[in-house]
Amino acid sequence: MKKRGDSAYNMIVVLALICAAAGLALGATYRATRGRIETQQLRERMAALRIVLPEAHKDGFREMSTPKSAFAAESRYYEAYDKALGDASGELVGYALEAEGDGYSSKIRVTVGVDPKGEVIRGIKITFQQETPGLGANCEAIEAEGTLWDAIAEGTLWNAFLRKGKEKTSEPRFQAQFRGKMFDSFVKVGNKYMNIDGLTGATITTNAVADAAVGAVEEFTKRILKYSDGT
Amino acid sequence: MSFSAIFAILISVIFVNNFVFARFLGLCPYLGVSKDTSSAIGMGMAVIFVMTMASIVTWPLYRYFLSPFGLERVLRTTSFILVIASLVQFIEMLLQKVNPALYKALGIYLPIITTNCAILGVAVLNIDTFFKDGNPLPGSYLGSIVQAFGAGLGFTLAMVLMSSVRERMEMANIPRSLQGVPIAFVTAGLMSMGFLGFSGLVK
Amino acid sequence: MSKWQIFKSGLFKNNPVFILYLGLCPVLATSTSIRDGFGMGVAATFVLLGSNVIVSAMRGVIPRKVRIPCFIVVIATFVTLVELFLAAYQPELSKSLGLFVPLIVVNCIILYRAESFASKNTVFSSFLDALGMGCGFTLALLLLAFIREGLGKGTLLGYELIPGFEPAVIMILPPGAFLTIGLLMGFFNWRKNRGKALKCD
Repeated sequence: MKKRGDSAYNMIVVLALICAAAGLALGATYRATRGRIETQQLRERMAALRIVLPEAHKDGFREMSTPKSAFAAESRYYEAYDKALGDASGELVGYALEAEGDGYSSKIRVTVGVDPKGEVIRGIKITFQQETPGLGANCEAIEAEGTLWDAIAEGTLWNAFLRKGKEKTSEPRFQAQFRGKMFDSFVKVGNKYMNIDGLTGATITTNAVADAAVGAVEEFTKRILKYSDGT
Repeated sequence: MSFSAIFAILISVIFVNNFVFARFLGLCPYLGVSKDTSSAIGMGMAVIFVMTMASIVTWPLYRYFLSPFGLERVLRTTSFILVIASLVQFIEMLLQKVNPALYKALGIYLPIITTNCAILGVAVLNIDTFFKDGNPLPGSYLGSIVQAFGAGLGFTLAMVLMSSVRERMEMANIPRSLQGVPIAFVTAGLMSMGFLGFSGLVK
Repeated sequence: MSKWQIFKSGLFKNNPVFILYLGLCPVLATSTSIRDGFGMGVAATFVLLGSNVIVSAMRGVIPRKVRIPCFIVVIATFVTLVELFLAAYQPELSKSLGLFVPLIVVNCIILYRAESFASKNTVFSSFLDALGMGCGFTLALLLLAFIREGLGKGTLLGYELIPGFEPAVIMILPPGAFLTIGLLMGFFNWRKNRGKALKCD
C-alpha cells in the first residue's frame, strides 16, 4: 500500500469510485437480465397451470383477481378454457388458484386446479418450498428412474445433471395423489387428512400443502363460484 | 400480532429451526469462540444485540427504500451487508464511549460479527418470511424483530451448550486427528440430533 | 512459488474447507444433493475469481484504512451478479440454494483470500489462487454431497445408486452433515499428520 493512499480525501474518492463502478455494473446486469428473469417466472407459472389443468389449451388461461374485501386481500386466479382465449367456442374447463401455506421451515406456494363447479381437484403443483431436505422437501421428490449404472451406460447422466426432461415425464408422487380427488373427500380426522398418503416424517409439510389447497378451493367457492351462475 | 404468535416465532426459531443446528448459520464463530463458557456467553450476547439492531434497521430499509423503487433484487445484498458492517462499527464506537464495562465484555467479539453469516442470514430471512411480493404482511416489523431476537437466543443456547461440552472434552482422551474442530463437529451432530426432537413442536 | 503451486495449494494442502475450516455454513447447508453442491461451488468460485482479480488489480489504489469496506462492496457486487444470473438462467437452482446465494457475501474464504493473498499479489497469481481455492471448495462440497446424497437418499443425481438399498435419512438431515464433515476433517488431519510423522523419521 502506498503512503499517500491514507489521506482522508483519497479514502473518500476511492470508496466513492468503487461504489460508482459497482453501481454501474449492477445496473447494466440488471437491465440485461430483467427481461429474462420475468420470462422465466412467467414460464414457470404457465408450466404450473398446465400441470394442474392438463385439459386446458395452452393459451386458454385468463388471469383474474378476486375482489378486495375487508377480510381478505386481493388474490389471483385463472379461468381455463379448452381453446385459445380468442376462440369464442372455448368452454370453461376449470379454474386454477394460487395458494400459500406455512410449512415446517418455509413458505409453501401451491397452484391448485379445480373443475368449473369446484367439486373435483384436478391437480396440484408446488411452486415454491424450502422444506427440510430428506423430509418435507420430499413433496417434490421424483421416483428414481433406474440405477446410476444404467444411466452411465445409456449416457443420460449429463442430462440428469442439467435436470433436462425429467420433470416433464414424471410427477412427484405426493402431488400426483391429489389428482381427481373429490373436494368433499378432504376431511381432516384429528390432525390427518384421511385420503392423503402423508410424507414420512413430515406431517407439517403434508398438512400445509393440503390445507393450502383445500383452503384455497373453499375460499374460492365461497367468494366467487357462489355468485357466478354456472358459466 | 398476538402474544401467542410471538411465542410461536420464538419457540420455532430457538428450538425447531435453531440457526446453528437446523439452518447451518454462523458456524465459524460457533466453533471459533465456543472453547470456554464465558466467551461463548459474551459472543452470544453480542450476536443477540447486533441481530436485533440489524433487523430493526434492515426492515425499514427494505420496506421504504428498496421495495418501492424496485431495487430489491439489485441492492438487497449489498445494502444489507453495508448497513450491518457500519452498524457494527457504530455500536462498537458507541459502546466504547457510553458503556466501557459492556464494551470490555462484548468489544472483542464485535469486529468478527460483521462476517457472521447468521446476522445477514436473519436479515434476509426476515424479508423472506414477512414480505409477500414486496408488501409487508400484518405485524411484520414486530415479527421480524422477535425473530431476530429469538435467532440470537437460539445461537447463544447452541454456543453455551457446546462450550460446556468442549470444556469437558479438553480433559478427554481424543484421537489426535479428531482433536479440536473435527470432534466439535461430531458433537454438534449429536446435539443437532437432539434438537430434531423439537420438530413438530410448533406449526 | 510457481504458478502451478499457487493453484494446487487451494485444492489439497490448503483446502479451504477441510484444512483452513473456512466457509463451512454453505458447505453443510447445500450438500444435500450433488446438483445443489455443485451449483454452490461454481457460484462461490465465480465470486472468488471476480473479487480476487479486482482486488489485486486495485491493490495500489485502495487506501489501507478503508480496504475492508472496499472489499465488501466488490464482493457484494459479484454476489448480486450471481443472484441475477441464477434467477435468469437457473431458476430451479436459485430456488433450492435460496438464502445461501446472498450469504456468499459473508463466506469467509472470499474475504480471507482478498485480504491475505489478492491484496499482495499480481492479478494473474490472484486469479490462479482464486481458481484453486474455488476448486478446492467445490471439491469439498461434492465429496460431502456425494456421501450425504448417496447414503441419505440412496441416489446420485436422482438415479438409484444400489438397487434395494434402504437410505439412512439422517445423513440428509442436519446431524448427518455435522457428523460427515467432522469425520472427513478427522480423516484429512490423519493424512496430514501421517505425512509429518514419516518426514520426522
